[in-house]
Amino acid sequence: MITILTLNFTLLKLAPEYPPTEEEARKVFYARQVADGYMTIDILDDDDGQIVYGDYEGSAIDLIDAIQDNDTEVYQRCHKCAYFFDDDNDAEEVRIYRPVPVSTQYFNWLKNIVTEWDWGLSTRVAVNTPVFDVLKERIPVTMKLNLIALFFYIPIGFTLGIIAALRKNTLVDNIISLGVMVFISVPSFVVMTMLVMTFGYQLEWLPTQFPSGDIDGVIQFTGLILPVLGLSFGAIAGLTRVTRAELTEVLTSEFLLLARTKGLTRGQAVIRHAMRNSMVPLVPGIIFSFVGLLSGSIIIERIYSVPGTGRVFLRAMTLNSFDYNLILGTTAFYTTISLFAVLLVDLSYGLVDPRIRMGARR
Amino acid sequence: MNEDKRNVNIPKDQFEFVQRGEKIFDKKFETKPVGYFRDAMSRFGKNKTNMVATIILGFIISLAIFVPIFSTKNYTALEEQLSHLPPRVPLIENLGFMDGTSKKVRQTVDLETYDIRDNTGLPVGYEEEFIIPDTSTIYTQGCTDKEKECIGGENSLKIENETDNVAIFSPNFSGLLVNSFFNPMVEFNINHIDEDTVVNLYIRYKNSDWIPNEPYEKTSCSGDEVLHLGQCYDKVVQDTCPDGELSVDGECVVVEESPICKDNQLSVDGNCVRIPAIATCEEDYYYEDGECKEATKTCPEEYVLNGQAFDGEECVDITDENQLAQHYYERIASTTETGLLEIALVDVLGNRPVMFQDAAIVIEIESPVAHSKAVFDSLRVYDTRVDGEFDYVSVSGYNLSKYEILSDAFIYNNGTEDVTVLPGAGSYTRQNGIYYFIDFRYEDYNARFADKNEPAFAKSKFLEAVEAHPDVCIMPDEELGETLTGWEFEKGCPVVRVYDRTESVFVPQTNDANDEPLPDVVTEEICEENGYVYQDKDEEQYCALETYSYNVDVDYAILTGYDDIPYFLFGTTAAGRDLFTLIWVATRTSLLIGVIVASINITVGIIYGSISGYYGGLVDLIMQRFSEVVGRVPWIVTLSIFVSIFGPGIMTLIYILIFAGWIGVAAITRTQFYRYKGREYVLASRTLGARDARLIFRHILPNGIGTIITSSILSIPGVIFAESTISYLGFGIGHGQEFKLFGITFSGVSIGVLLAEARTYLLTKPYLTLFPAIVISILMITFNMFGNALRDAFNPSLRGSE
Repeated sequence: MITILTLNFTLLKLAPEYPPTEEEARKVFYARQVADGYMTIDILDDDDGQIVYGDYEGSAIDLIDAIQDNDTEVYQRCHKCAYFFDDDNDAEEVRIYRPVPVSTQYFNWLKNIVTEWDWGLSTRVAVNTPVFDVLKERIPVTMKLNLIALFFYIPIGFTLGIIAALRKNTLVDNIISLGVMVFISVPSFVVMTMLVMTFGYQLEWLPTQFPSGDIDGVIQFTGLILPVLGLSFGAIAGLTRVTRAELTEVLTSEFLLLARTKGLTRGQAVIRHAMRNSMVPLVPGIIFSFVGLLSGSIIIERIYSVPGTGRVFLRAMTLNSFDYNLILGTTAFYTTISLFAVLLVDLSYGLVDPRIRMGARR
Repeated sequence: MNEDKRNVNIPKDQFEFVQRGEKIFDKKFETKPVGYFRDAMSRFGKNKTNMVATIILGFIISLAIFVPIFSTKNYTALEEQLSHLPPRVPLIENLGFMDGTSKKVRQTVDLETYDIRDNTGLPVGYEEEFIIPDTSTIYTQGCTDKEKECIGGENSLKIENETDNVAIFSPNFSGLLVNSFFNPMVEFNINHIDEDTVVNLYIRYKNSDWIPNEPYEKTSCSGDEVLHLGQCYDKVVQDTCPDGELSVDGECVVVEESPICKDNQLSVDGNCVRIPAIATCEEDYYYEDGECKEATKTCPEEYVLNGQAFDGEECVDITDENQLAQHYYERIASTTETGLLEIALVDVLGNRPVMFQDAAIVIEIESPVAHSKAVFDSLRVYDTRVDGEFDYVSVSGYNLSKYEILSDAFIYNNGTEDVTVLPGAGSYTRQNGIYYFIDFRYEDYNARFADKNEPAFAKSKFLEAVEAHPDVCIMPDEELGETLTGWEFEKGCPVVRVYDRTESVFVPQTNDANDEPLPDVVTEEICEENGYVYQDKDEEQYCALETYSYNVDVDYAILTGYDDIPYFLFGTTAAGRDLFTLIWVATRTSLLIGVIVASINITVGIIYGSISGYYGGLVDLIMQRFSEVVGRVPWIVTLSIFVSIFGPGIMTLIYILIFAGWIGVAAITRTQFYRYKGREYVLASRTLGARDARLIFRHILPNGIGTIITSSILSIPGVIFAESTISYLGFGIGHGQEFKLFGITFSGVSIGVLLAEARTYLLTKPYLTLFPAIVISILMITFNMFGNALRDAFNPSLRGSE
């Protein structure tokens, strides 16, 4: 995880900076940058109309020209830096903010996160608000949506998969397989758009946008239906397909025949023996599909205007006004969840299949 | 032991040789030997569903290749005239759908055409002749918007907490024209007043020189006179004198030709007299510099218009402190009862002609009880003009709702003393208004391609249209005395007839036709060379571009390049591009990106997987860890890094897709290598001295290549999937981008882009979403089925485990 974040941090530093647009907000932002150790500040006093900066001597106004002229030494020294005249008079003092080397920035950034849980300030989406505060409001919405979708699709996927496997090569199986094929192929944004178009606009049964928090319960509930459906269709199809394949394989194995021979009913045999065995590849699949669900929800959130992390990520990614701290925060959130899922998968093997225990690997 | 026992009990004579007397190895095969590939193909052909899918896929791919090449419809240029046409398909149009008509929903009704008796009316912005009869229904909807279309209703003024009054004022004097009102009278219709609440009506005006300090002597004039600045004048005399005579001070005088008098003077009884103002100008005009000018006039921002009745107007600088007017308030009525409140302003303003330039009506309510309110229906301002004309302006619903809350304190004189009214706070809301909406079906194609009058058809467009059809667009021959005005072109010319041409406007140019700066001193030749007109005005010489426009009738079908009304099978987009062609262009782009990315992924993956699988050991371990790290990067991290560094675009898209795309191929290749590298023939080859490269590429790779290629083909739909998703989010390709490949220019349209653009019109233009969605769905489904079928065919043991 650290590797990915490091990579992300370093590469984002290569891209052009987009500080807040408003003058006042920018000052606050730069002051904070210095406090957090990403920049240094040079205060130049202009007492007698002369300031000295590096090998530059002259008036403050000319200094600005020199900074912008890329032949000068000042330009080299002040690459990617910001400068302010002191407000109230004719530039008696110039403040120049200069970024420190990226490696130093990186360690300061790590230190800030570890010691103060400080992810930096948002620069464009919610100007000068701590990134974590921005995300704090939105993570519950996204998580709620995805968890509901998770608990919605797992039973349906299992049921369809079991039905298809038990009635293999019948009409039911063919219909289910065809449906699986369709829903696994159609991109989720197409499904979501069609859902919104049909149930939202044409039939007017369900709201066409995610209801805001202060609307009463019934609408809150109906507002969840479409995004959950949009998220689930692909996942249901995937789960059904895997369940069917695994169960078909297990159903043909000898131990199931043995289970039947020793007098178990078909239902008992399938649920106690076949399902338990086909679970081994299924559980990791479900955990990984939750990660897929989460990143798929970025698109759903955009289509349905859900105030979640995905939408804030897309807003932070607006062209030419990137909000790097927010992008970093959001990607850290998604990365954490996906890596946590990997860990969960490793642990789940042991739970589901007693043959694979950590110690028993030898 | 058990087996032995079983066999003991079978008697010998029960055994029989199957092939007694025959030698099976001499027999010929009953079936012909089948090659690996042919076997796979026959298995592939057996699955009917997959065959159908493959045929559909082939059909889609060939459409994607050939439709953009052979399409005659516009799919690149922006053509406003063609935007948002509904689908129209030949033959099917006779069945009643996809026939080039569309249902328009919730259009505003043009209230002037609305007939309340049989509830009929026409929508705003549509032509009556193309509305399909008997399809329109008009319905109403309540509204509280402060919108013009929200008609009727009342307006409720409510006092907020902690204040005991609130006032609103009209933005202007209720929309009345300057100069048009004499002795106005206000009729105020109050719907409801809460108990203990008083409604006060004030008039606010501005002190400027139209109300002089000294009192006027006269306050009324006789019937055929006009009161003006305190004096009575004869009424406006219209220009009714016979030819050669002129009306001066109400009398007709003979105008004598005299060379002595100047242009704007005329000779009367031997003297040169300025042409009198009132006598020769019509009522709403005033006289200035020898000509009648319209009375309404606009001034620059820092000026106000200061008018005098029938006596011209001038712009007064309001930054000049002496002219800066102050507001005066006069209370003209108050009431505590609902109903009609009529106030004549005659007494208040001393029967002077009032110029309501900055005048406003102020309505105040006051009450000791919190949250008291009053509800106003309408307000009417009458003109009680002396000469008997009688106008009124009704201020109801919408106009009344445009009144603003007054936030300044004001002083008025109640006859004995000055009273100061402090500003209160409150809310002013609209209620019970009504929207009239109409639903109807509309013949879009006929309406759009009918001959249409274009009052301002630019010169460049005109020339372009005429020059594009030289056979039929024959310009008038000026030598024969024919002029362009009133000219009708032959049939087939985009311009049907020319009514008129506007005056030329000369725009000074600084750059020549090649965008190079013109010399400082220009001559007539230089200007003509660049197609400009030489101008010599006000001692300044410059080249100018002559522009003018025509008032013409245009046949839009021909102008946009179609002989007849075209069939747009899937309709057109907002930019007027043919959606049918565009979808196939988009599919082509998607397929192309899929193939490019898949081939890069295969190349990289095979090389990486080969090295990793062949050498094994530490190399394999390190390479595996590396691909694991890359593979674990969530796609949004990849997306954010590439988009923020390179910006959205086709290359970024490809980078994102290959960043982690090769890992799958590499893993499969590695497995194949582990499977084959220990085989005996590899060992044999190695013993004979073959190098690593030869072993990899001649002996191991060809054995595993079938599996690798199959899985790569299966990855193409995944790439298309990802591509359309990223484009849909706006980080991939977009309209206006182009990329070149093998000498062919591909436009930056993909299905994702089309769907993203259609999002805005989800409600009104569902076909924009429907058709691309259907096409991409079919493409993905068939591609997946094709891939699965291919995999099954090459590897029958995997059958069914999809």
